Amino acid sequence: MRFILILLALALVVYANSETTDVDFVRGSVGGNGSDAFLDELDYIDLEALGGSVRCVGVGFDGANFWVSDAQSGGGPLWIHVIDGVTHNLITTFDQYETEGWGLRDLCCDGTYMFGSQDNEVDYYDIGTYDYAGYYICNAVSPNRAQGWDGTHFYTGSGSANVYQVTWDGVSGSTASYTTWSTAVTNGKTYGAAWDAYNDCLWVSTNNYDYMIYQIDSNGDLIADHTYNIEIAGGCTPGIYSGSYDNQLWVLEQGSPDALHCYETAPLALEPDSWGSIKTLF
Amino acid sequence: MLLNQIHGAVSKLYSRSSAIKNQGGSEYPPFLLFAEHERIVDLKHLYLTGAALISVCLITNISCGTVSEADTWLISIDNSTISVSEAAYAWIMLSPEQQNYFIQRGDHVNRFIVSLARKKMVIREIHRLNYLQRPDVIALGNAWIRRQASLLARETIIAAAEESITEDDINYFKDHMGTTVWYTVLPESPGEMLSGPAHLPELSRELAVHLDSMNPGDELPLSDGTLIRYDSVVVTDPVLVSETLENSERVTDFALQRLSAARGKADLERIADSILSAAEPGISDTAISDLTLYYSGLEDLIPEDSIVISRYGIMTSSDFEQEIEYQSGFMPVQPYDAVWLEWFIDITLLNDALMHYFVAVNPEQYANLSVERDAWMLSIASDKLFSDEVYSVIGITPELIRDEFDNLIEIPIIPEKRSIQCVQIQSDDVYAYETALSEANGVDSIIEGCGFWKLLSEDNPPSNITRLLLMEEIPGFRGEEVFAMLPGDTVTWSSLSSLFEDYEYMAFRLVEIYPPHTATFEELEEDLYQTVRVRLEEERTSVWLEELGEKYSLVINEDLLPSLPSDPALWITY
Repeated sequence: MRFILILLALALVVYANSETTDVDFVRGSVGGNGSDAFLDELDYIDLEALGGSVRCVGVGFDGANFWVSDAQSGGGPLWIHVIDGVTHNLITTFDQYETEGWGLRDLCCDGTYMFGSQDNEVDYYDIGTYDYAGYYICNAVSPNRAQGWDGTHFYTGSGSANVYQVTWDGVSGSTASYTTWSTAVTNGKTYGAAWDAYNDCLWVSTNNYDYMIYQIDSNGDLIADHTYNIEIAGGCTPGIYSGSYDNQLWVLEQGSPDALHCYETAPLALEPDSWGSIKTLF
Repeated sequence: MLLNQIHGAVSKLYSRSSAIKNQGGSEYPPFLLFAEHERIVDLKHLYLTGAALISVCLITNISCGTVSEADTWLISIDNSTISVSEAAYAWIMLSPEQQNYFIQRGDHVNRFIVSLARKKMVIREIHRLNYLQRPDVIALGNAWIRRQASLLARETIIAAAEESITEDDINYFKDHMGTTVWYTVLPESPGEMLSGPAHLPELSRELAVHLDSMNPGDELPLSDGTLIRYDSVVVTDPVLVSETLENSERVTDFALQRLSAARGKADLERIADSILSAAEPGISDTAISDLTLYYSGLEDLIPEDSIVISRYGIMTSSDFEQEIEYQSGFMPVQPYDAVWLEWFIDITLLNDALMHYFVAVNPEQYANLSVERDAWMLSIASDKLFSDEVYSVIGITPELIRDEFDNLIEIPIIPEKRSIQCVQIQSDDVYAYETALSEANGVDSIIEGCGFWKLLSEDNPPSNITRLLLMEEIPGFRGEEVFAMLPGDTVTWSSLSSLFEDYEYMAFRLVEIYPPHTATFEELEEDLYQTVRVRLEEERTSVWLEELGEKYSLVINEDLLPSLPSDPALWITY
């Protein structure tokens, strides 16, 4: 990610030296292209600028706000940041309940609770009050690093090709049942999961330094592995972006700085200044 | 509904406003100037703002009974005019983000008015050249409305499912909470389907009751004859269940959410299956193969190839080319991969079925969506027009890029770069690595087989030796350390640093140094290409817009413009 940013910075320096001062973007075409369309950003949130540390790891979306798990190293309890989904302002930061080390990793929401795990227990918090509300045990893997939710099942995995489908009965303290749902994450570095309801598939973010994200169908079979511009991902989640209330895929990048990225895939092209002003009115 | 009411209120207000003030033969009622706007949420905000402002202004004008500069023409295109107040309305109808676009760039009044005039010319040109009738624009419009309608269909189905949940359903859920089952549908037949683990109270009531009446190992048919085998069950500790049930309100919410999701999902599948069965879609494997070859760059597109034939019509390769382009705005696409393409076609058919459902159950809202779709298509058509008039006209030659380089006033200095050999050490190997550091050649055996940064290598196949990197490009946040190493020290392996949480570490040694130097043409060529491209595009855009101005006899009232307040919203009563 860093070297891409450097290239971008160099490019912007060149543009800044030209007559064109307005840099606007327009979607291009994917037609006839033999390679994966490079993921472009619709939206971006610098977590460190909002008070997050360099140890932000997971992200979930409660329907209005992003929740980010932060294993801050300054001493004391670890954090969860709640960030407004539209304005991207920090709403609050509260302490994780009895976690240590890297604490909660990826997060996901079932509409009532936000779930996250630091071992074989998955803690959940009330999304209305931010209170710790309970936990369930899942022995599929420890930690239950990735967290996704499709309306019926949870999906988890950690540092391997396996993704597990988890059935929890809603009883705090109970042990959830699971099956090995997919082995499609071929780089073997599952970190985050996000269920895409519209496309009926699971996205799996990874931390293998190979810029890969995986798309798995509802049967657990690989649809495609895609190259994008995050080298080391943390968690991921569906969430709104500031340009639309449609859900998009958001991925947490563990980089410099730690950040949330929202993607589209159409290639971008720089627009001339005059056309940019006209397009603003459409 | 609320939006419609607001829209209606604003329209009525405008009708009144026009009747009072329309003197200049204006082509566009102010409200319609931006009726093409595509975002419902923005419109809701804007309508509210606009309604309030328009109300105030009407009251002001009516009470004063005066004719002001607000009625004077500001823009003339082919003898049709846009008045000062109409331009003000157009400004008010912009979202804060759109207004800020102009304000932040300075000289926002002139910039806004010129852009507004040009937009109207572009729209005329779109209509003149029939861009809205182009198959690609129509196909993109179809893709847009399918996505929006199918999303609303999902919301409708889930909401209906939630409304159908009764108190009895909630009580049944609570009574059976904590029971997880495994079962088999049609056991030992070709259609056998293993199911579970499943939380019993989240299954359909009939199936849940059926399983609850059986013991593991039993086989009994459902009322429709479908044979079910009860395989196994896990029951959570009743004490834990009781403790959870103590918070009755929380459990009720949980049950409602789970039952709504389960029932909504089942309803959605049933509705989609029903529609798709009626549509009888046939999918051509040959056409899919042709399309993947096109996206692989191996064949030309066969536009008329029928990918899907159903009772609703035919979707061709050309249609799917646009569907894929639209989809690429939301997710990664791999149309050259047959697996991805087949999945995408299935998803498109599912969403098409949901769109047809939505049309049937909510025709009014679908009609509103159609209006938004038309506005969206106008924007897409403007992109197509711009591409045809600008992007496809300019030519960038190697000579132009070379000239750009030769004319650089100052050739930049490329900072020092360094190449390293670096690997990722797993936590299990940390002790072995640290022990090996003290032994001659010991590290080599440890790092063999370790992971590395493939994308930083120039070798084929990739190796653990990187290309030359800037300090910021060094992985593992160790750039400063690498660049502090003495140039001659290419044998010392580094200490370990934690890479990711606490299970992976980075180790490296210096390989090569490339000192700072004046950039060569080759090093700047890519950036220079972009510079030339942007400049030529801007130049061509200016020429094209000038041509349009002449074609449509564009005149802006430059005598009046400087005297107007800097806030266009105030022009309404100026």
